[in-house]
Amino acid sequence: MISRIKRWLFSLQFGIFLLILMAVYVTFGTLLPQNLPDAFYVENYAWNTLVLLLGFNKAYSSWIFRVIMVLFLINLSGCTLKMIPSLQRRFHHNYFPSPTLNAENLWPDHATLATMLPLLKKKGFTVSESPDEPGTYRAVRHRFGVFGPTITHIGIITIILSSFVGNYFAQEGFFNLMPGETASFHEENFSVSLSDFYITHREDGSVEQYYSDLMVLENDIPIKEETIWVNKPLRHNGMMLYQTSFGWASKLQIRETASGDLVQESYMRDEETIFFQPAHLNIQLFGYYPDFQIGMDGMPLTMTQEKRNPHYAVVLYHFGEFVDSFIMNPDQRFTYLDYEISFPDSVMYTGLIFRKDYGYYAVLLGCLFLLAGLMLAFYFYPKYIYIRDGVLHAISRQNSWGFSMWLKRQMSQFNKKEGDIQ
Amino acid sequence: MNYIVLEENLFTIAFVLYIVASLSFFIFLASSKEKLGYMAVSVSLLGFFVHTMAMGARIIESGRLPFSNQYEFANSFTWGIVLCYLIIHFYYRFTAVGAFVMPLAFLMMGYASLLPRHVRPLMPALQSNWLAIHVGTAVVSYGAFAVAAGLSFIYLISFNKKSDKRSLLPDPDACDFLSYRIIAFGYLMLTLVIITGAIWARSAWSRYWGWDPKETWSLITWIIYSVYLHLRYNRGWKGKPAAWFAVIGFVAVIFTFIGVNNLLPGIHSYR
Ligand code: HEM
Repeated sequence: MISRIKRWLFSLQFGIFLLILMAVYVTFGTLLPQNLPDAFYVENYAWNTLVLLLGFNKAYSSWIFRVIMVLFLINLSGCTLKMIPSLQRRFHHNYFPSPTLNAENLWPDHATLATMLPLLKKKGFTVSESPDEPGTYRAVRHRFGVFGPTITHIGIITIILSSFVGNYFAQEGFFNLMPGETASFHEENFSVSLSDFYITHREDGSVEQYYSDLMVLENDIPIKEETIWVNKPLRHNGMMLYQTSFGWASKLQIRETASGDLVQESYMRDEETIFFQPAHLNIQLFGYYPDFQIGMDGMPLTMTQEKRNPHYAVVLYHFGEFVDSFIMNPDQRFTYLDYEISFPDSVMYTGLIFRKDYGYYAVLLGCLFLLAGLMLAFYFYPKYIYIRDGVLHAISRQNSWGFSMWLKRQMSQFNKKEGDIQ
Repeated sequence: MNYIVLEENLFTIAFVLYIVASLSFFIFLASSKEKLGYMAVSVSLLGFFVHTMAMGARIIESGRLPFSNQYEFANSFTWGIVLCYLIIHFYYRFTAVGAFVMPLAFLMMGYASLLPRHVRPLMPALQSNWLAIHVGTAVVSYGAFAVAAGLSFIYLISFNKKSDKRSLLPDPDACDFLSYRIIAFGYLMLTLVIITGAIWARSAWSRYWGWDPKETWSLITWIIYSVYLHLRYNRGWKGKPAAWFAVIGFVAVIFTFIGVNNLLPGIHSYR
């Protein structure tokens, strides 16, 4: 019973079944929006019970998907191990398969053993006389290719395992920095500060590239300066920093109306709220709109990222009660109680993703195995030729047709050459 | 010289030539006149030459490889299909395969002709050396799968009519074997496409794999062809089931290419 289960668990049939199951399962993942609250699926899909039960709403992290992947790993590992003894036998230098009964005879008309054997040697074959049948020769090439599928499979196992393990330990997150600000990675023992962030535009106004000038510090001592952009991350102690987004931070100034003294100055990102204690005011910057127009829905719409004609949408609360909302430009001031509120300027901040994942390098190694294995399996597969005077059979397990075709071509050249000489 | 106008004219000429080639292939199959077969191949070759010049004009105009929006992908894809077909034709002399492959080429080109074709500079995420390798291998891989699908289709309609000696269709067994060889090549290329895509995604977006619909569909395609390769191994299953998988695989290729961009939005849909 156990051995029957094992045989089935490690069988190619079960492997193919799992591959198809995997493909069908992730197809649902691409058709449904992922990782939304359950209520969304209940509202929008008639078959929502099924969606939630089978985990199609988070197809790539659901337990069903994990079970499929683990079964696949077991199946593939077992299958690969199971194959190894027979592959070793085939790899052994004594191994030579016999031609099939109806194998085509490719022996060319003008050939003799004396001309045939050197030609095959020249083509890279190892030629030897058969130990059991004198007068019969065996030519072999790419014997090591038998391990192609094994190496391919090991590559896939490596990729899946290292992505599982890598993602489990990976650190990842998002942060943003205004010029002059610093973010610390305590565990990694370093910090980065943003010297500058800028966008370059083309003549037609489209964005050419986003740049952040970063400085890496260890114990507050600058180590290196680097400019990053999309496709060129910064790397330090295994941590990668990526340019991913940007936004505007706007300078809030609050002055005393009577004296004109500046009592508060701070930078606010969109939708951020600041509490101004002396007046019990909550100031919310609803949004900063450079070069805006009012859109069709009545909301402000930013036309470009350039600083032309900028405006600020602001909402005020006093003791938690709504007071007023207004739109102002950098030269305007809004007076409330004894204070003047203004937004004289904005600066851009940069949005950065950090990620540390050593699994990636193991995945790359797996990819290398995968590619090398595929090359062996498809092109450097073992090729055998059975030779007797007047008889020539091409033998290959992977590609009998293609190998015969290739050998026929070689033989026709052989004929022509002989013809030329005669 | 205005290269854009030149490109447009050459594109149209190539398109017409591909249609003529497809029609000639069909008449060739129906009438069994070998001369028509030669003509169809010659017209395909001429069309390919003109098409290559059109691509060249665009490369000169834009200063980069034509790999960065849906029109350019579709155009390159067509080019890849015809290239793979011609290579296979001149190596193996299967004239009739053209009847199943050239219509795919002209349909793909027709799709390209419907898309906006202005030359636009590259958006920041696309400015990478990986773009050329990633899309270049995709073009060859998809071209190979198209030809293999054509061969498998011939196999499916002819595998039980072996007795008919007059048939112009190539021997079904030859189709079966040849589509295996071509798929093996296309599969190797597709593997490269996915790996280069992952390396690129890591340098642009931080994650080498993010289950974006385009990524996922390329994986689905890859799985289908993996099943194909294993079906061939199991002696009893090759032939018909494998041929079906080759056709399904190509449907997945087309969906990955067109369907995902239009039906399933994600960060990958550069229109
Ligand atoms: C995505 C997953 C897989 C890939 C990419 C893959 C790849 C390959 C390749 C390229 C070959 C050589 C085929 C040829 O030369 O045409 C092969 C052979 C083989 N594979 Fe897989 N494989 C996968 C999964 C599996 C699974 C799940 C099993 C079984 C449980 C399996 C069992 C085998 C067997 C038995 C062979 C034949 C080896 C021989 O007799 O020489 N493979 N595989």
